[in-house]
Amino acid sequence: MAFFKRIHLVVAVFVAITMASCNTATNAALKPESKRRQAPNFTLKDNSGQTVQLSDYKGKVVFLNFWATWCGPCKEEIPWLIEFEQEYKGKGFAVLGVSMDEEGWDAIRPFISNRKVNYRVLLGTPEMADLYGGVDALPTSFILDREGRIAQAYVGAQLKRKFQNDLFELLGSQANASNGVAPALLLGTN
Amino acid sequence: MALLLPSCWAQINPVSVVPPQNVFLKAGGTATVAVRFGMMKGYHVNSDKPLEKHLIPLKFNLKPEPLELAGIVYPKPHTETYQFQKEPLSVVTGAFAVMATINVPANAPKGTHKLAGTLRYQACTDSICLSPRSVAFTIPVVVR
Repeated sequence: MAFFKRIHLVVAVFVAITMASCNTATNAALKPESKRRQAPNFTLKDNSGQTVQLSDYKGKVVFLNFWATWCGPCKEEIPWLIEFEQEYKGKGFAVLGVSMDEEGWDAIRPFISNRKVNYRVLLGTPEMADLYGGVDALPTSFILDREGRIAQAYVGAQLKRKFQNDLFELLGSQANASNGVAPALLLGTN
Repeated sequence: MALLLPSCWAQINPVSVVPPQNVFLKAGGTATVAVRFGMMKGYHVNSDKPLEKHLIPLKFNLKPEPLELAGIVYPKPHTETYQFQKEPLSVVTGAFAVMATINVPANAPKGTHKLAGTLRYQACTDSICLSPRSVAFTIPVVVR
């Protein structure tokens, strides 16, 4: 009997540890440069059938957003990403949306067309997702610095101002020059 | 290539099946079987009739042979809104059951038949959505 109680305890502790490691919390600040790891390169197709490699974006700050049409919290982020793309595209920044829809472009095309998505959307593959830890929970995003290193990872829905502040920090003076707003003044409700 | 994020989410299966007990039926008879499922706290799944076409519905599949599946009744959904999903959703939360009506043909072989099935679902919390999953089950039906 004591043996079974001990087994139950071990299982309960294992489950608790597993659950605790699957949280959606994100560090408040970007990772220090010395702790950033190179983002794995990948090759995927975009909406027009063009081949896209992550390495094509070296020198730019990249917001790599994993999403799917069936993911509610992902949809909430799309207008923000459209805004970021519009605001900072000419300032060394790009959003890359990687859709994990199993149905492929038939599901994605009308969805992004309806929402007037202005950034590049790619069709993800399980192999590519594995490079980024499996990406089984959506939305998952990575913000990459100009050297292609991961400056921050975000699992689950975040606040818009969190994304904005991190972007401002990576874009530096180029972002500030775009609208004259200092990062500290970003006090949106989202 | 080393993984960048813990793949712990892939190990989470928010919906689990309560193994069905033996169902005793007579040849030529009909019965409704409740297949019961549990759900982890904090999660919801789309109902069988989501309010948006992009959402992945609850889908009950059963291979009834040599018996016949006469009907399925899904759990009654409710409408919710969540912190990071402003549009209302038709969801199921907590423990639920799918009712499967099974016909036994008069000439069905007597004995135990293990009817295999799956429930496909797509689960979210209020801030994350997991990729679609399936939970497998077996309904042991004893034809007398």
